[in-house]
Amino acid sequence: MSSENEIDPRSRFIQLFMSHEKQIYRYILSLMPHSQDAQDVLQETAIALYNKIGDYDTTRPFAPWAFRFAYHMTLKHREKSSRWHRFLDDNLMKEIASRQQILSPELDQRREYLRECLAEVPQEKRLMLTEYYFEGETVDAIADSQGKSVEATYKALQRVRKTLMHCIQGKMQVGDVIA
Amino acid sequence: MNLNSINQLEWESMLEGAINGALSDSEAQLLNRLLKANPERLDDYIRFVDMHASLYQEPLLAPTNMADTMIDYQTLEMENEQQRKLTGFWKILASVTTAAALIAFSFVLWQSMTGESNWDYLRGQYVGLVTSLKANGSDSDLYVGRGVQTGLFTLGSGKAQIRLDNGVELSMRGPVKFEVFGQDHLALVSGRLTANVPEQAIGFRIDTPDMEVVDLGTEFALKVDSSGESKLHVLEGEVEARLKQGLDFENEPLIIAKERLDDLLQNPSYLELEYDPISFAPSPDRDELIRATGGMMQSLHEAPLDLRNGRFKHDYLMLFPERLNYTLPDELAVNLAEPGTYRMLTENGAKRYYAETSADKQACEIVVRSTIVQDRIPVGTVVNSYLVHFDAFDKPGERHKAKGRVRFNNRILGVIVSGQDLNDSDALLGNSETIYENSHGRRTENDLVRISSDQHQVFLNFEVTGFIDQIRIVVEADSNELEIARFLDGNE
Repeated sequence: MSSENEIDPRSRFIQLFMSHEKQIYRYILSLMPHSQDAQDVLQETAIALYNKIGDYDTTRPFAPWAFRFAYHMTLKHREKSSRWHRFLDDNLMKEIASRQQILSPELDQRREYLRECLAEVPQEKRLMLTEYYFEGETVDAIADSQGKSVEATYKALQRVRKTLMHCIQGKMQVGDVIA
Repeated sequence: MNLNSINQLEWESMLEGAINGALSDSEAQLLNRLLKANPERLDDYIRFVDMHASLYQEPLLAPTNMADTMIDYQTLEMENEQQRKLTGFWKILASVTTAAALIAFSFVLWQSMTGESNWDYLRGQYVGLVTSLKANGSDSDLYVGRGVQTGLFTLGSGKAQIRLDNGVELSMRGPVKFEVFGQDHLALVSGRLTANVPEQAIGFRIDTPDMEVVDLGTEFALKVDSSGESKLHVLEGEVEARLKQGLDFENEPLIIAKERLDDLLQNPSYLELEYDPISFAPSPDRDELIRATGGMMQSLHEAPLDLRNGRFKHDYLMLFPERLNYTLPDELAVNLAEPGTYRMLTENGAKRYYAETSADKQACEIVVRSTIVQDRIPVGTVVNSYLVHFDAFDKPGERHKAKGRVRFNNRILGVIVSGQDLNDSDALLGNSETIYENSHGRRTENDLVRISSDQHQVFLNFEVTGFIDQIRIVVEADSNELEIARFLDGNE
């Protein structure tokens, strides 16, 4: 029988990172809420974690350790990008990172409800979400393919997100009442 | 603006602006102040952004049950920003050394994940693709679709075109020899090379024995003769160029802009003001018919010569033209023609699909047999035909998947997906020099094809297991002629 210490560090990194990738991505996106930039930071975080995997204390949870790297990589990325330079200041980013941890159980529950709410979204709207979130289409391309204006497509996406937020909130309130 | 005066609509609009990266400086400052001043707003912001992030990961939005990872483990470290910005000999050396270590690292990661042991086919190794080749056979190791790696690249004779991963198009005329350091940096040792550099690749650099040329948004041609002397011509936009040795002013970086050549106080000796298309390599071909490709789809300028099973393997969906401006001598049956999301199933595939796919996902897709015929394109229609070919590298025990999309400038008239119909249309729409697989070796099974509502875009989500996936996309070549054909055929 092999102990965890005997696992090749590279394999350990892959196992740990793959199982936490989504969580780390959500964390980064809360600090820099743009998908492509967040993916770049995720990639840079993966590199940093790989290089430091030898320092990881396996008796402690991986996520908080990885978040520290993600946080610093986000700061670094922000310095390079004029778009994000003035977006959230350092203190606020710290506050968001800390508050996100406190809200973690609620966010988990909201994610459950998101799936239920998504199932109620009309197919046409869900296809638009698929194009935007799954296929990585730009709003311009979606507008183009649907024969709508870019502004109308932005608005349509905004409306769906708003509907989803309301739906989740409604379910949370019902959940609170039942609890 | 008073923080308390922000109403719900303005708040929602601010959140949308944040996730779209569209906040102005003043709006960003206002958001900062709001989030600091109001803990409820802060929590709302976190909830909203978490939902936004979760949508990227939500399986209900994925047309298939692909377990997507956002990290490209094969190219993990190749994306290190600093490496791309290094310049100078020692830095280049460091970069190459590091790149070698990184490739090794990527390889180890890939091996760990997949058990794959074939060096040749790792995507992370490539920095580009040969998209076109007109040579007389002296370069036996070159073929259309071959991945370009870092290291020495040579073309003995003829012409070729390469697309680097950053979108730079390189056209060359043999004999030519150059060293590829990465997608952002080459060294032309000898011969003729012309580069078209898109906006995202500004900063692309070519060294020659006696020159350094850095792109500033342009198309430029370089040639290096047998003595190592270089000549430059700027076809569009501007470059920064300098001689490594020579007259004082030529040693200094000089901005050379096509539209402002008269501004130069003195013409540097390396600059050729007149463009001679024979003595330089030609301007790279650009596909005017394809507006964009995305995801795991790569387009080539011409069809590969052998498309039999196992002969043209690549982890990408490969798209290429087969026949352009071709007038159909007979009516052509196409399997799919109407906008929609189609799931092609065979009997075996159907069992698996219904067992593994949720009702929600099924509701988003139209399940069809690949032998369906949705339309017949009239005789006399002038069409362009494109093939998408997917024959991924063997990774034992794994299903090979890829998704990608192509958007054409003209309307898509139909898509041929069944193996038999592909076979039947090879003679008509195929490239005459290409050897195609027979109908048993190519088919679509559990694959997804989406035709956009405006019929200009096809999205594909393919999976191969032991055979190759191919579809033929038939696109109108000329709208007016198509309308006339339809009219004469009595369809409209």
